[in-house]
Amino acid sequence: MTTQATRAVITAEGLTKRYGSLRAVDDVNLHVYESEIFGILGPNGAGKTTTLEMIEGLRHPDAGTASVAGFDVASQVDQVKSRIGIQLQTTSLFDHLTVAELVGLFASLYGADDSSATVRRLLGLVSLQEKSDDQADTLSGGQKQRLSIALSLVNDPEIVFLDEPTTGLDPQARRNLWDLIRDIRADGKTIVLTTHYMEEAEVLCDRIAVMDHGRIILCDTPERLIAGLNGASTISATFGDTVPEPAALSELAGVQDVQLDGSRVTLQTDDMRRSMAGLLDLAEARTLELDKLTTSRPTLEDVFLHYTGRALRE
Amino acid sequence: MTSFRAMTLANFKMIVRNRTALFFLLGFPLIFMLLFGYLFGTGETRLSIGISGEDVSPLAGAIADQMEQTDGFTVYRGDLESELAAIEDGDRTVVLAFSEPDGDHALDAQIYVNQANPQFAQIGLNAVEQFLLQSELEIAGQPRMIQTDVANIEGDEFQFIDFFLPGVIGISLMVNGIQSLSTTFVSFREKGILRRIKATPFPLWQFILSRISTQVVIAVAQTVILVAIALVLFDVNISDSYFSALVLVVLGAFAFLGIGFVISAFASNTDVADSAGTIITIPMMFLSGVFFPVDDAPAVLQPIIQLLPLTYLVEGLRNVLIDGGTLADTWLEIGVLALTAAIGFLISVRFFRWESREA
Ligand SMILES: Nc1ncnc2c1ncn2[C@@H]1O[C@H](COP(=O)(O)OP(=O)(O)OP(=O)(O)O)[C@@H](O)[C@H]1O
Ligand SMILES: [Mg+2]
Repeated sequence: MTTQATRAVITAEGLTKRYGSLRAVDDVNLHVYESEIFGILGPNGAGKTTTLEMIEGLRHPDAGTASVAGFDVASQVDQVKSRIGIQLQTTSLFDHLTVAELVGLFASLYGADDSSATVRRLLGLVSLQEKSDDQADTLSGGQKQRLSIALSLVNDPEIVFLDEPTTGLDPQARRNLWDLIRDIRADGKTIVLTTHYMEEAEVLCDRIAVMDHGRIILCDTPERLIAGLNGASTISATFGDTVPEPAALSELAGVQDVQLDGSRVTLQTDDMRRSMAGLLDLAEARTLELDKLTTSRPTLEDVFLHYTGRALRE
Repeated sequence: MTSFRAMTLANFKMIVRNRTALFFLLGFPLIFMLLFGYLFGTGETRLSIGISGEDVSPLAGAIADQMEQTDGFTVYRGDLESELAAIEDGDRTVVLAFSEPDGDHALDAQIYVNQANPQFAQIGLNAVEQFLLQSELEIAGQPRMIQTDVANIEGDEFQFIDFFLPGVIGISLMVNGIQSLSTTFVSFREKGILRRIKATPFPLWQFILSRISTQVVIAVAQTVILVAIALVLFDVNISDSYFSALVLVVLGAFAFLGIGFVISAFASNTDVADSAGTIITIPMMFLSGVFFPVDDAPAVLQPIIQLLPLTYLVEGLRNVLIDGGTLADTWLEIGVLALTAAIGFLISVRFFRWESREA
């Protein structure tokens, strides 16, 4: 999962963007390495889009520099533009053109191969072959999303920027898109994407920058971010008539904290396997009814909660 | 395909496939032409007087000048040959040809009268003769200075369409350049399409030039279609100054596109652009001599009328397309249109915005 080469293809230093008194992006530093899927995770208004668009050369930072594929974004924006593919968070496209015409047009605008064979291949990649002769404004939200990903690939870019590529997709479409993104990476491209879905960041991204209030508060692999919490896993059990007393529960191996809420018991443990075994033994020994039993490991949500004191999405 | 060609081709497709746009580009001027063409048919609406030989004597020149300043006459000056051709075509009611006197008179004047509409011809002849009698007294101070002779010409009837066609062309170029350009462009910005273009290596100036090229070609096509229909349905009398007309059409298109781009630069959204366009185009349509000669408009309006680019486009087109004038005859019109275009493009380059809000 982690194919981390050491060559940084994107370097941002001290990127800052102010809108009036708001620091939309505040002193952001980051490195993105070749062939990785890099995610920027954060709530609405965190500054993800602003950061991305400063790196793409679409917005001018008030301070800081960015370089992409070895070119300085401020002074060599043309070289940058032709080496990157961009999906904007909100794009609507020209009306009255078909899907295939749009892909061909954008290929031409990049000076890339716009032959119908290439257009077909790109549409195949995002499973839109059947729609190629339809007007783009008749596509569904998810199909438009895929079309704009196809457009981000027309120039065979080294780096692809996807701003919330899966927002508004149904779960199946989202999984398909994850596969597509992995395929694009397998093609040797580097991918930078933003998301506010933590499960997406967790399963899809090699590394994640967690953003809040314009700042990057953490940046690492999902595994290390979660491990860094030293976070306890959670066992949640709902008993029938009789609920064991808290003292007995807190003596179970690994259990650090016990909470009782009616017939529901929530245990925090740093040793899931042994705590679970202990809980089941207890229930067996006392012949207690166990109506429901769930376990969960800490997620990026917990990471976010821990560092910001807020849930990622309320 | 090169980027520029691909973009231009796409622009054409977008316009041709857009029914609303097509209506405004073709349907609207067409309805106008049919409506007024049939409404006014071949009715005479003005006394148009052609004058030739006004340089044979100071008296002739003075008469021509005074006639030009008189309400009710629309005066054209040209050589005898072209004025006679114009009367044949129905574009003149009367032609007044001055020549060196061959007796003891101060001036000879031959009056040609177009008998296509005899009643109107009579009014025109009377008016001109009356005018000459008066001029003798006022300018020369004594009667019987001018020897007049009258000849009848069986010319074509004057048709309202001859007068109206250049106006309709002007209106359609105006709507094309101002309304459709600005609403399209602002909607591109509003929807973020301009940003998406900015993200590509395709240069802005090429994007804009491509749009301009498309609109200019559309303007020429509009003109050709309108002229063709006027020929088929109304048998309009046009001259063969096609090249001059083309130059004026292209310059007119540029002038209105310049205005359209200025609106695009300042309008915050499509509705604002649309309203601004309407506020500019509707009064211009009625003040620029599309429906009646600008000379007939009240004097208080003249300063405004003389500021409107449509006035110059219509005047220039009438001159070359109907009256057979050359580009040299329309240097003022050409200059004003070119200046309008230049100012428009300079302002819009200065205030161009990629995005609706601050980037
Ligand atoms: N052009 C602009 N003018 C003024 N304020 C802006 C502008 N662009 C962004 N902002 C503000 O900057 C902050 C960061 O916005 P940004 O779009 O980068 O957030 P984001 O993380 O992408 O959010 P989302 O998840 O909703 O897309 C927000 O508070 C936003 O209101
Ligand atoms: Mg965003």
